Amino acid sequence: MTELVHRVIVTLDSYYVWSMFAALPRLMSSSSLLFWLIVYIFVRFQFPNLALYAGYFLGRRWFEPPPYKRYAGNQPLISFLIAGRNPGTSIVTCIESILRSNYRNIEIIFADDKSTDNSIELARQFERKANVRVIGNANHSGKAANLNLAFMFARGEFVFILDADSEILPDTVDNMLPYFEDPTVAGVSPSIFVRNPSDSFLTRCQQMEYVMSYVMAQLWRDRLGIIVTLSGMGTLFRMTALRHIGGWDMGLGDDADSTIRLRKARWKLRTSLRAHLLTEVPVTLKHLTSQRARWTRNMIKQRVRKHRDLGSFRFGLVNGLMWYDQMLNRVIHPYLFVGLPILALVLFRTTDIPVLFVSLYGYTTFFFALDLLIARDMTRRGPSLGNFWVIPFYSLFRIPILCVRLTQILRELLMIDPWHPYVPRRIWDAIPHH
Amino acid sequence: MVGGTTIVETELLLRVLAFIPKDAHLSPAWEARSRLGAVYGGERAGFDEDRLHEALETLANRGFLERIFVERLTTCPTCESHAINVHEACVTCGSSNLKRIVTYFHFRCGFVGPEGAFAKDPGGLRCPKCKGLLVDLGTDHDSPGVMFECAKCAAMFQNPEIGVRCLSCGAAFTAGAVDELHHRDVFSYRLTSRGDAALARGAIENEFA
Repeated sequence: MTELVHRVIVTLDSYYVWSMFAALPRLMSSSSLLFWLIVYIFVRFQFPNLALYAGYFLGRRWFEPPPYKRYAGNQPLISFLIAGRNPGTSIVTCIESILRSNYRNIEIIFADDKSTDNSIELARQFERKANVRVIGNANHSGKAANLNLAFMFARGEFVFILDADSEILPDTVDNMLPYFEDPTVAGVSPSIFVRNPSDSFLTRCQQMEYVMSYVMAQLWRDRLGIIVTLSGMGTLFRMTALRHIGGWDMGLGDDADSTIRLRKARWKLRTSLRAHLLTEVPVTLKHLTSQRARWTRNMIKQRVRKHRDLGSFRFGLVNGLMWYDQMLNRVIHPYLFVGLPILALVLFRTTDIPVLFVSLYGYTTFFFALDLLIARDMTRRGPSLGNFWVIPFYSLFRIPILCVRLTQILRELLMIDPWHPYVPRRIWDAIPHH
Repeated sequence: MVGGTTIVETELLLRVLAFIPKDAHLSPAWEARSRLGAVYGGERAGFDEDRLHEALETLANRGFLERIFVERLTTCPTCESHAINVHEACVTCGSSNLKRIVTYFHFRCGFVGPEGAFAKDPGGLRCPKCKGLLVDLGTDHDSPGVMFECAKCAAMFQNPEIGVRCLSCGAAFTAGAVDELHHRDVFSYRLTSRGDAALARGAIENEFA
């Protein structure tokens, strides 16, 4: 133990500045497993980003919305569907953002999931002023049920689902609709940014996380045709595609589920770099971990259980490969990243563990800062440079999320307390669970 | 002229004061065919109803009668007629041709639709999405509520607009225009002490004296 502490001190001293570069030859010579772990991390996590940046600098027009053809000068009706329970004043901000849109041919349908606050009254004040309809569900039924309720009222050629705590910008729709010139496109997701980055250290970190996970990762997935989730925070769908899959299924993870069902039905999915959406993120650790616990369990329910048949390649090679990538990335990686260094320590009795940690920290921090700088340039809405001070501490933000993932994946796989109050119990008991 | 009132008018006002029941109200009776929508039974005493109402209002304004509120009538802003039809109207096209529809939500697959979308089956209703059977309300399905469907433009909504048509002049009002409708209050009347005194004296005093 004393030797280990000594080693950490020596390592920090030797490699503090150039740890990333200095550690590589040592790792190559000392333990090939650790070296190849770093190579794997680079290939899986950094290479797609680098390819994306190279593509962006070589041909920026690839990332702009395609030109209008059929919809040039012809605005099809877009039905905005909002399902919410107790959104409070957020519903006002949300509806006002839609009403400020440059796109005028819209209808807004808010399905209120039997809110116990004054949300429904706040929404009803818009009913007489604009094309807004408020539907009060007689029973608390969960998000998917209320999306389906609002969907029943929708008459648009396109359907924009929007979370009550999110908002669009005036040009968001204009930057999404052109993608539907391709008649095989079922849905287009916007680039999602954090609305409240200044609220806490956690929201500042989430701002960076969202840029990389919901904008940049979604973009390279778009180019490869392997978009896994059209976010429930906001997505524009083709009405016929949603009708084709019968709207939203019950259970958790309605957005991932509807996306995979669209993929299975062989519809194309796109994302728009230029269409921006702002969303409110959890401010406190309690809310953040609760949200991520739900997301993790949804992910296992959808990918490992309900849609495991993707892995059989019945729905095509790309869908199959995407499923295996998801299994690796979402289910196995969290354990791998924690388990491998421990395994290396036990099996190989290597003394380079501190070197590994310091070099990994240096590597990830350096490239994360670089990623964010490029993402700022690409999106024109990345985190402000004034927020870059959180980058060295970003790993701290990942620790509770990793802990939540490690525990919740296991809990869901072992079916421990599978019910989540997000779906009322009376409905949960009637749903087939795969 | 006495206090701005002609002798003929003064006589009418005195006759109207005498027409008010002692220690009771002169109450209106609803009469759809009348211009005001209510009559005060003046015909049996030889009064023209419109002139009687004018005289009652004059007397009330001058403090000889007290008004007691009975009802607020809504009237057409174009012709002031009380003969108006109030109906539920489509939020989109304003048509009154609406159908009330019961909606169901199937727990199992999440489908929400009007009752007509579910096929009738001997065991219950058959879900169009998952083909499952809806048997027991509250256990495998429930109703988000009663909605409306417009037979003219097919729009569906939960809260219809209020539409109004004047049956006298044909003017139609929907949505925000409903706020422009006029209102007229109908009162019963009773003698004040001033009215009692005028009646006992047999003269309407000059209010400006």
